[in-house]
Amino acid sequence: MKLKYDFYFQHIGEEWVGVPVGEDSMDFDYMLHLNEVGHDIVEMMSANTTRESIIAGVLDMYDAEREDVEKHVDNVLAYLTEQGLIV
Amino acid sequence: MRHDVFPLLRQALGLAHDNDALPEDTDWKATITMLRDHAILAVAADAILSLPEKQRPDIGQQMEMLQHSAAVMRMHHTLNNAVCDVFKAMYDAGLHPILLKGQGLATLYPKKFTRGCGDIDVYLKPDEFEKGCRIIYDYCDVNPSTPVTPLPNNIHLTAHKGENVKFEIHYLMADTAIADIKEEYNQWISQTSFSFPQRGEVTINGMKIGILPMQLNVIFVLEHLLKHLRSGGVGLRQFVDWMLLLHDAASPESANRIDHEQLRKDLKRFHLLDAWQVLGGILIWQLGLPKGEFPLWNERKARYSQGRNIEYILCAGNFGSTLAEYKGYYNMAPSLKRDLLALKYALHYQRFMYHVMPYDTPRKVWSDVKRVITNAINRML
Repeated sequence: MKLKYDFYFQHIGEEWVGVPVGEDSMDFDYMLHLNEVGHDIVEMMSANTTRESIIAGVLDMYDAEREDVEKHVDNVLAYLTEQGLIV
Repeated sequence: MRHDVFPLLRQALGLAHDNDALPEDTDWKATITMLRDHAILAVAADAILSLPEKQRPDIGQQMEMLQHSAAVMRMHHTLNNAVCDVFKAMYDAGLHPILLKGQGLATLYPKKFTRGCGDIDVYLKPDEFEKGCRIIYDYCDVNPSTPVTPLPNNIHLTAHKGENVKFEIHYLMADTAIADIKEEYNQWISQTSFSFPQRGEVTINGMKIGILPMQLNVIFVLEHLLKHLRSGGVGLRQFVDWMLLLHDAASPESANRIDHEQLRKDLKRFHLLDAWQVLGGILIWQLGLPKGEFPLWNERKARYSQGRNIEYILCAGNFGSTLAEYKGYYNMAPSLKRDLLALKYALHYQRFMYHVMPYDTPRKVWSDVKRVITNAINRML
């Protein structure tokens, strides 16, 4: 799975804000607001990947329990799926 | 305040000075407006959004910049796809189109797809013009019965595809700032464009696209900049384009070195050497180009670009969009006082332009003076 569009992210205030930039993204006209981990997950999804690889990537970057990471990754994936942003 | 943009720009272009201090206590509303007027907001946005939190604009302004940058990036995707589609069709038909200005220069920017963009300018050889034009018309769904005959006093035809894509199909390279040389300049640049030993090219979406050879492109970009300056306002974007071309030519990997002696001859031939050497000061002192990368550097002449003259350029904005505010007299009712103020600014501006274009400026001054006198006399009668 991967993200449907390319996103341009900037850290604004307390969060990462992303806007789609590819030509095919014209119909997605709002911004993604993510925390640090959410942003890392989305960055990993700019290329084809799997849920397992994402969890492994997050565990590499953060000192966290696997169970918590799985829950967080699933939440982010559910949110992106709901927005129709995963292909 | 206006000069706050330069450390940001240098930072964004990867040419920051060692002692550059990024602005503190900036009037962000005015700075963002100015960056937008000069078509470089998306270029500078990265540098602004990388400032320490307390130096940045407020959250709303940051969001506005992010959206602006995203819109510019999307526009590049749209235009680049159109460039590739049309150039592929023309190459397949055995034509030799050249991509001029914007999309051909945008790839030089350190952060891709941030140069403010507009039209797609395509130059076609005279004997390929009709065929190339038909291919673009076909792509844009223009009615096939639309003529492809060049219009008098115009240098290009236009074709639109949807709301966002506009082609300018050039049969003349330029409508020059100096009228006397228009024919000779166009003849020279069109002849040499296709016969130059080193072909210019850029890669867009993985496809090689023909652009002007570097030796000609640096002159063409300057000449186009002068046309805007002469007509009231030039955006910093055009200075950045010119600077990045020279920076690219000077890079160790470049296959596009500039022959300085040939450049001097060509600039002199078209009365452009003064403009090159005066305006070069902005590239070095404001935009951060290393002096060694600027061919034919002349410090004495370059100083004429500074002080009130760079202020004028900053205030005027792209296409002179903010000049009225600078001049102050713009909204005054017609009166002798207004005429005199207009004359004062015209003369100040022409004094600057005299250093930039000494060949052409006296006639322009005389025409400005005549216009003011005529207006005043007409009002009195």
